[in-house]
Amino acid sequence: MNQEEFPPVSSEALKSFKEHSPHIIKNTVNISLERSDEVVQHGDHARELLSSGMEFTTRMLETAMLLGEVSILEDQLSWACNRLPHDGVALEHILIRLEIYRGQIREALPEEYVSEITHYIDWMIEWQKEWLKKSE
Amino acid sequence: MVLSEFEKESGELIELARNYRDALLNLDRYSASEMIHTSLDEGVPIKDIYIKVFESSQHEVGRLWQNNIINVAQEHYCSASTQQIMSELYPLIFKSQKKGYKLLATCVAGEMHEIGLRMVADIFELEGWDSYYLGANTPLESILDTISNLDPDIVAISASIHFNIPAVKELVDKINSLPLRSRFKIMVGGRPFSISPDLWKKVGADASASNALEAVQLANELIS
Ligand code: B12
Repeated sequence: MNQEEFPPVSSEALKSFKEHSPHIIKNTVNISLERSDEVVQHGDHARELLSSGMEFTTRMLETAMLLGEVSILEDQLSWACNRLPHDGVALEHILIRLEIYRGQIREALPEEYVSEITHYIDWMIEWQKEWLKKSE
Repeated sequence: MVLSEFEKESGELIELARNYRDALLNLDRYSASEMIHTSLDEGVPIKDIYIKVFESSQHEVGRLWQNNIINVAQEHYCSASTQQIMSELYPLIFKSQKKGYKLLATCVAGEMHEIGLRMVADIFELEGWDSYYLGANTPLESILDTISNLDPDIVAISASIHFNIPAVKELVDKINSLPLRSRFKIMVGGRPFSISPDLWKKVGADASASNALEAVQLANELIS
């Protein structure tokens, strides 16, 4: 990880992300729930669990982008990879949901802000792929 | 031999820390309290009890919860009991000779982890400071009012969860524009600041420290 490659995102992009994030989270959860074999183990709690997970991710991401501090995401991802399997979330599904989330960001945000934000999410996705490779 | 995080953090007090943790996990606060008082009587310094037993056990409790070995109720019991046992030590902590310096210690709005900050406030008190501990989840405006009323030498701000760091930055930004700003220093701390060593600069603070002992040492340097 090279911290210098991650300057804080512009205040305009961050504001736009915050405005759109409730919608991005909702869509990410809806699409993830349609992949029923990945959520069946959560029963009636699936929507609640996925929503709180995506809200948590979004707040962490906002913090990292505000300060230009990707180490926050690294700590968070490694924490999630350790904790979430105990909540019935498979590591591959974390990756799939991050990819769905990125897709929703691309759709929802005005084009001029997309790359600033996805720069951080691309990094998260790469990190998650590496982790999966290592844990194989 | 590879030491666990718990062993590293507890150092030479690992046996006491293990017994203390096990007593609390067995819902036996009385034994936990008793072993702390016995150790103090045998000459173990109170600061070591704080850092190498209370803090290391709480961190271990966090790892046990993270790994699904204990549940939330067990964590709550350990946290509540440790706070009770800390209170039992107050006759020892609050009898220190005062130096005339004031510490204002607070968690930002939204931050529920208060034990680390409470330890910071207690260690300052033990070192002769007057500490004003506000605890968890304190609204921003009321912190600003308290600074103006109290006129402290150090303002200590704590956050344990990364997503509360924007609230730390917002608070520090507001404090930085107070008229009496030149009269005190701002220290920040908590788990995120220990993980990201430059984070304190990015939120606009004057300093950070990774535990209560380092914090009081640094504060003494900052005000001298
Ligand atoms: C007890 C606890 C709780 C309790 C807190 C009760 C209370 N009254 O304080 C409750 C149940 C409320 C709680 C809630 C949550 N928690 Co919690 N909690 C803990 C736990 C187990 C112990 C905290 C503690 O007492 N530490 C002991 C103190 C002494 O240590 P310390 O905080 O590090 O403090 C020292 C230094 O950091 C420094 N310091 C601290 N403040 C300051 C300030 C200044 C100015 C300075 C200089 C220094 C300094 O000095 C202190 C003393 O030496 C930690 C584990 C851990 N690693 O800390 C998890 C932990 C912090 N929690 C965690 C989580 C996930 C949560 C929740 C999000 C859970 C949830 N899903 O709801 C919520 C978030 C709540 C919120 N919005 O704040 C995770 C965070 C993981 C991450 N990557 O972010 C941890 C690490 C557990 C884990 N291993 O998974 N939690």
